[in-house]
Amino acid sequence: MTASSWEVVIGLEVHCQLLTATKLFCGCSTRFGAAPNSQTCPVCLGHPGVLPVLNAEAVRLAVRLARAVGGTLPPESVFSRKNYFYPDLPKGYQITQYERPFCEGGEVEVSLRGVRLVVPLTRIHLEEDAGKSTHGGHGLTEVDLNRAGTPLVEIVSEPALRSSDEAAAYLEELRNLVRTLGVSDGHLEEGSFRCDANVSLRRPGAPLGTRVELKNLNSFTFVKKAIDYEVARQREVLEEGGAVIQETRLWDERVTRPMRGKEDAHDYRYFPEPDLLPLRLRSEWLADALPELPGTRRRRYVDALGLSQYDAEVLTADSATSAFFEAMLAAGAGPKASANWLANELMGRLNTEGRSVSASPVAPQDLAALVVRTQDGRLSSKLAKEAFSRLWAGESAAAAIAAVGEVVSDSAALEAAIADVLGASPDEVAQFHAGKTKVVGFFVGRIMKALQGKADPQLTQALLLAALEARRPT
Amino acid sequence: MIDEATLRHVARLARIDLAGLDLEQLRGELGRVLDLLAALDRADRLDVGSEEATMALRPDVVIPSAPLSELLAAAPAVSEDGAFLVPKVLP
Amino acid sequence: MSGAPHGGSALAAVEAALSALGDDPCHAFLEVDHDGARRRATALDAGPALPLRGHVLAVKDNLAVAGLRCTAGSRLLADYVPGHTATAVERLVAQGAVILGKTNLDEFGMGSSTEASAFGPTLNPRALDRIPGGSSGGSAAAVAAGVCRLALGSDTGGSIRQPAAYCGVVGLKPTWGAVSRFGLVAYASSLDTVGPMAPTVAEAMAAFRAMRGPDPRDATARERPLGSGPSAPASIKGLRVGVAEGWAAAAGLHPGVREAVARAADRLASAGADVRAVALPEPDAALAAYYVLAPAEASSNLARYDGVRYGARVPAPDLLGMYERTRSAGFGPEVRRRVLLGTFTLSAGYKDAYYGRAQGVRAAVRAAFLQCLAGVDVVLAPTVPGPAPRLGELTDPVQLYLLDVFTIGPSLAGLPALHVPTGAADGLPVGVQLLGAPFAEETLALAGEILERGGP
Repeated sequence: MTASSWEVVIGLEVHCQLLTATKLFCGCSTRFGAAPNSQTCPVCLGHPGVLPVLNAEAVRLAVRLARAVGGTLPPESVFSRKNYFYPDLPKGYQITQYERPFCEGGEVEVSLRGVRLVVPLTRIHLEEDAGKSTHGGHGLTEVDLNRAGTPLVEIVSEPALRSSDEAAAYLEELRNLVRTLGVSDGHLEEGSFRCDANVSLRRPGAPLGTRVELKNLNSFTFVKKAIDYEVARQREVLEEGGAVIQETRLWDERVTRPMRGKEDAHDYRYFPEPDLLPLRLRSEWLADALPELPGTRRRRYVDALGLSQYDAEVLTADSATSAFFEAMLAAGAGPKASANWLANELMGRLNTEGRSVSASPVAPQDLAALVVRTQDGRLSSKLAKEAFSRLWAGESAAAAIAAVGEVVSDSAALEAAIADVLGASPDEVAQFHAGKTKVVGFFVGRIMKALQGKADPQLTQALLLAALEARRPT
Repeated sequence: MIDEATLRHVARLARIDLAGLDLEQLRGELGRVLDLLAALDRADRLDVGSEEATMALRPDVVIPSAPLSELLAAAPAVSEDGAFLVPKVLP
Repeated sequence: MSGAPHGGSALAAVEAALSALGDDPCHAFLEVDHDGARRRATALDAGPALPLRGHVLAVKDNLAVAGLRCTAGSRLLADYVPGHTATAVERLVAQGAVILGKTNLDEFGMGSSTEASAFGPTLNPRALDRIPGGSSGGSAAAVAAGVCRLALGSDTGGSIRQPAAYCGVVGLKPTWGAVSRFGLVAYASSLDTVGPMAPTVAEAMAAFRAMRGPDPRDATARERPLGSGPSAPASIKGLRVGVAEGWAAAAGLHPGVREAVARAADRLASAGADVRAVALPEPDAALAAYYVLAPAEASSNLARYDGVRYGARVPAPDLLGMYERTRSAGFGPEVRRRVLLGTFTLSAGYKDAYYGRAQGVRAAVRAAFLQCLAGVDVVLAPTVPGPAPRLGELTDPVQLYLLDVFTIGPSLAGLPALHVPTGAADGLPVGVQLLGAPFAEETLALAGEILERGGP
């Protein structure tokens, strides 16, 4: 049995913190990094006699996301209680949505190395976050409930992803989407964008295999590594004739390990939350205008601007890159040339230095000015690259272009240089007239050299051919 | 009647320690309540309809909480920096 | 209400209440706030006249009052002092009521006799060898003993009406959602209500009107919906009263209670009401649904008592041990039983047969009540099967559950229900229950005032 005869099946559950000022069910701040328990109140501490009251802004943001992925929004959704004991869960239950989430279905379109991939979603639901437990060295666990009650959406994908690359691309796309929408800040390191992965293997066409849930995937790199590790582990188990155990495993630097300490069989005893009435969809949430979304933008770049799917993918990978590109277009630079300069020159250089587009030393207007001059022929690609280095070093576009000098596109100057070169190379002229057209390159090289590389290439070519024709013996 | 294994499972889910309790008596009492519940099998049922009232929502405005010291004073064990302290999952 | 008690002097009212209380021989109170009440009364008397000035208020100890211990009758919360005040209490205080103290109850409201309090039982002031009923037994006793003319209780399956019946006072269980539950220690949220207990219907209604309405801290508290008709009929003349014949003829019903219902029907008829027989759903289905749904919600509502953030903790080397010991030591036997029962009926493999079925039965019970109330304005029914049992007489939990057989149905349906005392049987108070459509409290009051006036 070869390794390739296994199909990898991955479904992702993403918990994404909504960008609200206050928690889902009380008026405590959601600010990150405050002193332990300083952002709590009787409601989020689960004191006796207090009640949850739903934050309207959290629902508005959640609905925004649901609309962006084209999900179905039932007129009414219901909150439920998920019951389990843990010190970071103050009430002994989490208020979440179970049987009737606010969003069903929907899809996220991903572009992976120039190939479109549509990832169907199962659902999106609203829920409150738990607090944070830290296991100290003194035999005690410290519990900080600042995060308890923070509004989350859980975005559940169908088990439709087939590789760790697809999973990572989907996550990048989703994060880009929530940021573009202003629904979440998408900070992985602060826990506002978290991912669990369900991974299983099967023979193509066979029913789904036993899945393992992976947790503690704190970065996109970990997601890929953990899935790759888990796929290899399961493959080995299966190929040795064993069975995969349904369990939760944690990513721990290089391996996945079974999670300890949850000895209870999961029995969450869900039932409808009696402290809340059903949530009714408000028309104002549906009227809220959405910005252009990354997927739509990508399609527009391909269909209307004529970019390749790959370039469109690169340019929409995050909102900073996309905004940079849009600013170049607005400054008058053409789409294809802008895409090339941004994706290859600027981003190549940024990547080498480990910087992001938002930290670019080159402003989009300056890069656009350079592109405009290459397009109208006033800068050769060689000169443009020199000018780009000056932009990178902090010069303005005007200064950089002035320093490298513009292309010689004055016909008289070019014709004089051509006459000099042709006059000095009678043998090569004769070869041309004998049909050896390759020598044109030789002449162009000489002319460029004579003009320090600043000859307008297209005009030079045209004038050169005309001069050669004029010299053709009759 | 709830058998002892089920009772123990349920007690674990509910985090109730059964040590020192008369399990036979408890099973008897629960059993008599379950007998009462048998009326459910005979009773008419309807689909659970929708609540006609619309739930009021809260504006996203920060409400300053009670002083932290008061909230922490109620706790059995608190660390110096204000975290609640509990025994570890495994000692 | 006919004039403020004690000429509107809050301090005079507090002193009279403290002297009537004496050393609280019935153990109605878990805590009496002598100093706080006097201070507050003095301040009130110096200020502008308020509608409830001169009213002393006893608060069931499952309603939070900032700065006063709120035990809910549980050892686990013996030292818990909330920083917040229940909305219902806050609204009465805003109108000039003075809080005298916190009254005894069955632990977390789970019980029918106040014997399930962790702090000892309350005695019935009308007959000291009898239970006052429960779970609002302390509040009923405080009013019956003449300590105060206003007390707050909570009613989940009868916990206001049943002790009101045993102690011979008026008790109103409002429509679910009519009065905010903020500050009420939850037992079964979809059934819990906060309501007044008083010597007269007028006093109970004055408190109800002060407390009712939406609350930004309770998403389920709401106004009477628009388009649900006039808030109350103008007169008893022509009021359609249905007598719950099947209930009034139930086997085991004390003849004194049956007679009370019959006399009440006559009295309403002679006052001009249009009295007829109606059929209410059989109580056994409602009782069964209640004993699934209420314990199920309770098992979840009481999960927060884990010894982490407040309350008594029993230490253990590991987390599980700490949880289990804390909860076992903190909860009394009845609470433990209901938490186990509720966990069981929600657990995998049993949820559909119990919780799911009970939800369906509840929907059917509610529909049947509403159908009945579509044809009449008020339904007249027994509140309890008989007069108050003796202390310690009922030892089996199920016997106690059956005391609530007539109060549970209206609770499941979310209806308002008013207990009005009408007389005595065997020297003990008896009375009747008036039921109405959601938000029909004013209609119930109209009929209730006729009944309490007595005479044919």
